[in-house]
Parts: sequence; C-alpha cells; structure tokens
Amino acid sequence: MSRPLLSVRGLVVEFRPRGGVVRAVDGVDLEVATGETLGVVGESGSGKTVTMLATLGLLPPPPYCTVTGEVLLSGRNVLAMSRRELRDIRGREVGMVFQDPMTSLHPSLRVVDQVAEAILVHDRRLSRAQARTRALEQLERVGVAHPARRLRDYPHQWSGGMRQRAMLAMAISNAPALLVADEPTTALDVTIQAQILDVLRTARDELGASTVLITHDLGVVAELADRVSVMQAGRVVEAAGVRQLFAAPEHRHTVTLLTALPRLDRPVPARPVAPLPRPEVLRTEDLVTHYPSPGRGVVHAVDGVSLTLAAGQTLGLVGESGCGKSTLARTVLRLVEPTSGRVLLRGEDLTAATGRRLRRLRRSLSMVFQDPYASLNPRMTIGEIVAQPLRIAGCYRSSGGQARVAELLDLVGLDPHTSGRLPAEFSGGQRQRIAIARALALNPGVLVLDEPVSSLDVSIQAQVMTLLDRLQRELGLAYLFIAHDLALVRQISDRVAVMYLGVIVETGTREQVYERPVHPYTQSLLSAVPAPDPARRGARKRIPLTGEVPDPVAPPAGCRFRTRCWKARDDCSQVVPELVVRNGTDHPSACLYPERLDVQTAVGKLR
Amino acid sequence: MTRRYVLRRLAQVIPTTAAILVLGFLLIHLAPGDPVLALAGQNGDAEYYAFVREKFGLDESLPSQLATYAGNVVRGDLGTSYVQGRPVSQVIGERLPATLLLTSTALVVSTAVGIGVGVFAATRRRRWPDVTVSLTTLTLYAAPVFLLGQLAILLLALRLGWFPVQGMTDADGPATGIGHVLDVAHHLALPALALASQEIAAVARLSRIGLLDELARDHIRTARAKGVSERAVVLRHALRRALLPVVTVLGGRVGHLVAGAIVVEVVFGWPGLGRLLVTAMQNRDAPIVLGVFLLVAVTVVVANLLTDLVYAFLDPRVRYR
Repeated sequence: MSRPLLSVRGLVVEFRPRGGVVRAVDGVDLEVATGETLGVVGESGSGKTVTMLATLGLLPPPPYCTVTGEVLLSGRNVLAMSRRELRDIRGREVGMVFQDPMTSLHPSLRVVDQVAEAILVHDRRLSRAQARTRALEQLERVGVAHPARRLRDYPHQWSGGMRQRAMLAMAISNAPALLVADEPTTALDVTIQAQILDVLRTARDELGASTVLITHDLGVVAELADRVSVMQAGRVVEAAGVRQLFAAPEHRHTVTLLTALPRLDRPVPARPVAPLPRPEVLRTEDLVTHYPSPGRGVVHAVDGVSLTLAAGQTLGLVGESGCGKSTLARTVLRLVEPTSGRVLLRGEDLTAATGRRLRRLRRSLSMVFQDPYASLNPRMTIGEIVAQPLRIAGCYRSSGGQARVAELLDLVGLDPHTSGRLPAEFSGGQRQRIAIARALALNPGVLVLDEPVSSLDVSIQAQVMTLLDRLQRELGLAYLFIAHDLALVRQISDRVAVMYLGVIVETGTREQVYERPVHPYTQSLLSAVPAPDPARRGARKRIPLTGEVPDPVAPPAGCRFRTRCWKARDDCSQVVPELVVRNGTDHPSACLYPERLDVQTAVGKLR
Repeated sequence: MTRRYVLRRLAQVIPTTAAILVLGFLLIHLAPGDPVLALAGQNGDAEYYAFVREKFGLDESLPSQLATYAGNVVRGDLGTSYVQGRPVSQVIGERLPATLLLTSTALVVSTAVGIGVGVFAATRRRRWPDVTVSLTTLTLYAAPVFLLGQLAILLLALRLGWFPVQGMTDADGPATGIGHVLDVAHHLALPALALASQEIAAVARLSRIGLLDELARDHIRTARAKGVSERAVVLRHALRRALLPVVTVLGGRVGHLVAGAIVVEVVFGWPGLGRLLVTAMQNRDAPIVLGVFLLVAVTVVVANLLTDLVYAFLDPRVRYR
C-alpha cells in the first residue's frame, strides 16, 4: 500500500482551563489513504472534532491546549510546522467545511469576497477581480444559481443550504488533496442535506481528494465513507471498512450507536393499542397564524391547519425547518394567538377562553421544548422548576408538595434526592427529563413535544424516547410530537401529518404515510433520508428536490409545493388542493394528482 | 441601504433636539436664583430691577419666554449674553474652535490608542502584557480627570518642564505659520492627553473584550482554515465586528469628552467653551449657559446619528431591519 496521505499516531490533546486538565483526545490513531473517504463517528464530546482541529493546528496555542503525538500530512509532520507552513497547507492542501453554515461565514463580508479570499491568500499574483471571477466559478460548481447576480450579497441573505455550498466552494477552491468535513449537513434539513451530500460527493470525486467526514449520523457515513473510525471518550474504539462495520460491529459502543439509531429501513415495533374508547382530546379547526415581518409583509406561518388527536395516541408532525410546525405548537397552547380558527380541548374552545377558564384549560395541556439548555431557568433548583406549575396553579400544597415533586422526578427516572441541584449539574438527556417532569406536574392529558430529542445524542435520544413511550402507556397521555426526523416520528406515532409551508400536505396512519405515501413532498422527503446501510448504497433511487422552501411571506399561489414538484402542471398554480382522499388513495393528501409511486424510499416493511 | 434608513434616522433628530431645548430651558429657569440679582447687584432699587427684568424679557411668563426663545433658536438666534451684552452665538463662536480642537484631538487619540492597546492585549490574552494593560487601564479609568490633569502639570510641566503649564499659546510665540501650529500643539498635548486618558482606558477595555469574543467565533476558525494570516484574521476578520461595541459608545463618549473638557479647560487654562460655561454659570448668564448646553446636546445627538450610520456599515444586517 502506498504511503497514506494523512496519518495520525498517538494524538493526545489536553485542554487546560483554569485549575484543571481535560484530556479531550486520548491517543488517537487514524489513517487516510489517497482518494479514500474516512468517516469519523461519535457522539458529542467524543473528541472527533478536536482531533481534526488538532490535525490542522487550529486549536488554541499552549498553555491553553497542548497537542502531542504525530500528524503526518504527505509525510510532513504538521505538529512541528511553523505558523507560516501551517498557513500554507490550510486551504490549499486541506480544505475544511464546518458544521454550522449560519455562524461559519463572516457576517459582515460579502459571500463572494469570502470565497475569493480563500483563493487570494494562496495566490498573491491574482488581482481581486480575477479572484472574484474564480470564486464565481467555484460557487457555480457547487450549485449556487447565478452567483454573478449575488456579488453584493451578505451571508444573512442566503439560506443555510446556500451558505453551506459557499463553505464547500471555499474548501475546494484550491483543489486540496484532503477535504475535511465536520458535520457538514447536521444543521440542514433532510432535502437540503441530500443536495449538499451530492455536491460533496461530486466535488470529492472530481478532485480525487481524500476525505475525512466527521459526523454523528450513521446514515451519512453509510452513504459516503469507505472506512469508519468510531470514537468514544477521546479514543478510537473501532475502525473497520464501512460494510464490515455496519454488518458486524465489534465494539459495544458501535453496537449501541447502531441499535439506538431510529431507522426507516428496519421494522418498528407495533404501537401499543390504547384502550377504547379513545375520545378526541385535541382538535384544531382551520387554524391560521400570521405574523407581521417588518418591512417584508406578513409571514404565513400556519395557514389553515386542521388536526385531531385522540386520547392515548401520538400524532406525529413532520416538516422541514420554517414549515410552521413550531408556530403551530405554540398556537395550540396559545403562546401565540391564532389569526383565525379554533383549538378545541376536549370539546372546549381554548381560543375563546379567557382568564380563569383559560388557566384551567391550559393545565391539561403542556409543552416540552427543544433545547433543554435554554428552557430550564439556570438559577432555579430542579425541585423548584418541577414545582413551579403546581405553585402557579395554586395547588402545590394540596397536590402533596415535596412528595409530589419527588414522585414526578421518580416518574421520569431521576433520583428524587437531586431536587436541590441546579440544571447545570445535569446532562442534556437528564435536563430533558426534568422538562418532561415539569410538563407532567399538573397531570395534563395532552403533551405538545416540540423536537424534544433533536438536540440529544442518539443513545440518549433512545432513552428519552423509551421514557416517553412508557409515560404514554402508564398515564394514557396523548402526544403531539413535532420533529424533523422522519425515522423518529415513525417510531412513536400512531398517526402522522406532513407539513409544508404552513399547510398539511398529507396525513394518515403511520403505515399509510410511510409505506404508501402519495404526496410528492412526502415521497421526496422519505427518499432523501440517508439509509444507514452501506450495502444498499447507490441502489436506492432518490427524488432530489431542487431549490429551497419558498418565502412564507409570499407562498406560491395554488399548490404550495408546485415550485419544487416534478409533477407540477398548469392547474397546480390555480387550484389550491384540498386535504382529501382522492381516487386510488386511501388517506388524505393535498395534491391534485396523488399517486402511489414505486420509489425506493428508505422505508422497510413495517411489522 | 438604505437611503431610507439614513432618512429615517435623520428624521428622528428633530424631535430629540426639540425635547432637549425645552428641557434645558426649563431646567435653567426653574433653578433657584434670580439672574436679575446677579446682573444688577444685591443692592439695586426696585425700579432698576424692573428695568433690567423688562430689558431681558424676564417679566413675561415662562411659556411665552420659552416660545420666544425657541422661535429665535430656529432662526439661528441664541439670544444676547446678560453680562457681555453681545450675541451668544458670537461669544460661543469665539470659544468654539479651542474646545473643538481639544475634544476632537482627545477623541481621535483615545479611539486610535485605545483600539491599539486593546488589540495588543487581546492578542496576548492572559499573558503578562495583557495583565499589565488590564491593570493600567483600570487605574486610568478610575482616576478622575482633574487629578490626572494636576498630576500631569506637576510632573511633566513643572518638574520636568517638557510642556507649558497653562493656556493655548505662548505670549511671545509666533502668531502664524508652522511655528504657530507647533506652539499650539505643544500646549495641546497635556490637556488632550489628560482628557483622553479615561477614554483610552474605556476604549481599550471594550475593544479587548470585543476582540476576544470575536476571535472565539466560528467564522474566525473558517478564516484560519482558509489559510488567512493571523494578522489578517485579527485586523480584517475579527476587528471589524469587535469594534461594534466601541462604536456603540462613540456618541456617549462625545458627551463625556465635552463634560471632561470643562474640567480640563479650567485646570489647564484652555480658552474654550468649558471655561466660558463655568464663568457664565457663576454669573447666572442664562443665555450663554443655554447656548452651550444646546450646542453640546446637539453634538451628542449628531454623534449618535453618525454612530448608527457607522454601525450599519460594520454590520450589514442592521440595514435590512
């Protein structure tokens, strides 16, 4: 075998915050051959990003951080390089793409100029204008439409997907031998993720570059990597070829990662059958929420949504970011006032209720938010946090006071003796348990869960999902479960609604929506999810969606999806399709031409 | 931009200025003390008092005095000094250049030096140069201007004799040409430095913190990953946004400097508005006091306007709101 392009031997990285040492990377060995793609997989804090930053000398200098070991790039030791030499390889021999395209571009410099800078710093002979021309070429190459018309644009005027394309353009502009992509699609929606992965794959193949792909998403690894290194607590615990790793994982942690991952291509356990009768507990009728966006117009966040939720069941609501699902959740609780339409809670009109009646109704409806780091007051003990709804409702003492708090903490699997601690002492998963305990304090019948696990690692995610499942069975709760992760929603839902740009485009039972999707949007969503199965790589047909979600200030007339739909005909722009069951389908969809499509979606058979 | 943004921001200046005028007027006229007594002396007779009162329009009701004054101000007439009997605008006009020279020098020096010191400290975070800078700036920040001024005179002017003690020019210095400029600059150095010292400290601390904050951001990592030199990372990528807080306080700093100038001018015998204001206040010369007040207030308002416009340049997102 020829000499590897990148070889990391015994890498140790220690951070030294005041009064301590944290060993973030603890003896890592990696090797990337020329033209090969290495997937580095691990949960947050496993040291995968730090490893790659150390490899490029991008960590803060000593004394804050010490790096030992050996990093050879084309045979030269990176750790022994001078600043000048480092600068010379960064961006020229090694191109990097970072996770969050929202923060990784300079907000006050024009996008094109930022790409041009990447070219200019390595070729001083170019004039600004020449560099700009080359930057435009690179942007075009990664699929930015008409970059020349966007010369004066700043990053905030671009969508997340476009910004990540710009990052990619920067990374590949000097034809690097090594491409390092750190969670390149984590912050993106699934249809945009599919686009970016395509661009990444094409760029890699055109350049013939070696690639290091850092990610927590096994689906992404299965799609792109040749070999995989699994990291845990600063060490590589398993390294194998991608097929072998997925087929016969050896290390316990790899097994955990693979089994905890919600997958579309594996059967899901049948839903528990809630006892009859199953009365309807929540209903929205033609709910509309518009809010003004100064200087732009009116945002049509939610535009006529009718849903029903039965006792003891889960309604899964899926959609990409900006489709209005969070606004819908907030409107259901009347945290945001609806523009029109009604929310009925056990037949009582929540939208018309005021004062005492509203407070009484709200007790049977509570919410769990996405970010457990932001939704718990850091200055309150967790006992106080859980007791707060009881105190506000004036029933702290009558419900049992401390005993009730202990009971709630116990219910979500936390030690009641920890009630005197502050949220900062708990991990993300534990915090989400606290948030769930708080939501359950007043014995609500309905829980609105807005992306409750999307900020958690897969293994923690699985634990919280198990908890939610158990609570639902024990307490007969109804869930409105909102998420962008299709596999996750499939796992917990009885019924599913797919949302696009403020409207529901398809709804039905879990089996109907996942096995027999009829709306083109649902079909493309399902086909875009990367399957964690390298054996089927390339075998699956995707329905790539072009473009991005239109501006909700001016949604397209007629069918909202028509601007990205491959089936769109003339009448799609004139008729607003109702959400009804049409010929040849067995569940409601908002498409004039619904049809079962023999797409190779990632979904395996249920059962 | 955003012409709309500029116009909108300009339109806000008018009501602000009007409010300042009314407030200043009321404050002065509601303050205890009678200007007539100050003008005509404690022992005048009632008839003479009445004559003075009528002459300066002080016998009218407060609202009508205000209306007259406001009307005059709009036409550019700031009234007549009670004491000197000359138009206020003329009196102020004579003193304005000296103060303008002093404060603008202090503003430029404090901004430039402050940012420089801030960058120096931030790029050596937690090492001894940074710690030294932090201690020095904190000390400077805590020291009152009059104290620093007196110390500077004692040490640098009296003991070492490097700088003149008082005034703006030497009595026998050249009145024109390069010699005159050098003479004024020599006199200017100490008061400008005394006035700038606190501002240097404030700007240095702000830009240090701003830069440290900015250097930890994702887009800085991107720039480094592109191979941009550390110098360009700091100066081109980080500093631009690190200066936002420095710019934010620019308007307020102009106010500080003018207030500080009053003290500094007295300490250093600088013939500017500050000394004029102190004298006018002692004499209850309301038109002068009000004139200076208005001028200073409008300066601060304009400085704030410029601040917002610079802000929009540094952070393009502001323009599109």
